[in-house]
Amino acid sequence: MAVVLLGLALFAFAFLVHWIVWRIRRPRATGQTLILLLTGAVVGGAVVLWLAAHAEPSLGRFLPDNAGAWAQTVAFGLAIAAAYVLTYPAVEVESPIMVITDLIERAGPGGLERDELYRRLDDDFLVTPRIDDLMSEGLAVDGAMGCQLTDKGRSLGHIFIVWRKILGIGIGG
Amino acid sequence: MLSGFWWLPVVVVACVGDVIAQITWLRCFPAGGIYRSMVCGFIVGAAVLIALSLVWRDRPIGAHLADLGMYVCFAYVYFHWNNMGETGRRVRLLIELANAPAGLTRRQLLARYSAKEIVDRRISRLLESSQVVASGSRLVLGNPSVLAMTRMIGLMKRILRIESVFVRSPE
Repeated sequence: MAVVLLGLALFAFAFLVHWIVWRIRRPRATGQTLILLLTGAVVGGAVVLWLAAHAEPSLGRFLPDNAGAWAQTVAFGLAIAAAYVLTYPAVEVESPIMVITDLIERAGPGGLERDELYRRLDDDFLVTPRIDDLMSEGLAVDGAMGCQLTDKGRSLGHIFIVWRKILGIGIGG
Repeated sequence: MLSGFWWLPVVVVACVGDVIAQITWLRCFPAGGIYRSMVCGFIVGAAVLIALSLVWRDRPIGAHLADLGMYVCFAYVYFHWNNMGETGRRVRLLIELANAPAGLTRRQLLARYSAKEIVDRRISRLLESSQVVASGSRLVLGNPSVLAMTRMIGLMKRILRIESVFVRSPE
């Protein structure tokens, strides 16, 4: 069980680091920072524990006893971190479907008119901030010709276009 | 020493099985939608994981649990990857801009992808899944599972001190 418990502990440590950094100041490019921070904390935490086990052999009984088990522990911690990274956008940026559900619930038993949703959830609320996000994440630039993708943005855009073609489905949103 | 790494091919094969099954299901039964295909993929991948774990069962229970944990995390990440393509606003904007290499003004971008389309798509999904029910011209809450997720996300926001939209949204 050392692999499972240690993997969970490594993620918990990484989340603690993430929480501290976010409490001090939330970075601009949150996605990329989060990936680097969680990966660094999980791997760094494992390295520290491995070194500790070599320095103090009595710790070894709580820790994995071979390279494969260590690798599995780190992989498990990184897998949980990856799951959190994919969840994070819903935490940072309000999901429209959750906002709509919440607004309908707050309206009470009488519900809400569709037009009221259109009025409250307009372009300035739903779309413009996401365009700004593309700029802050270095995926697009706002130039004389309008919004254009950077090389990074173009690569990511094409990955999604190709993936949707593999699935055989059209554009989403 | 290499025997300690048996978990790697077990998990990788299960994950690949998930992806292949999901794509095959969606290609064969497109009317079922992407979410049903992901359920199918998850079940196939889990079956592969269980089968391979039975072949190499002379491992500690913790190792098997870690394999299962990694597979579930992969399935969750894969679900979100597909969900991003299906519902992600930034992904849609990326695709619109990728299809217009000369660039788009903000007005042109908003003409291709507007708040109204976003709201209409979400309302359709909520109505299809009975999360919301139409009562005349009004929408009322039905099955509250999305609302439960909203509350959990709200708790995470408080933990990370991320401002909620309801502080900013116009009345």
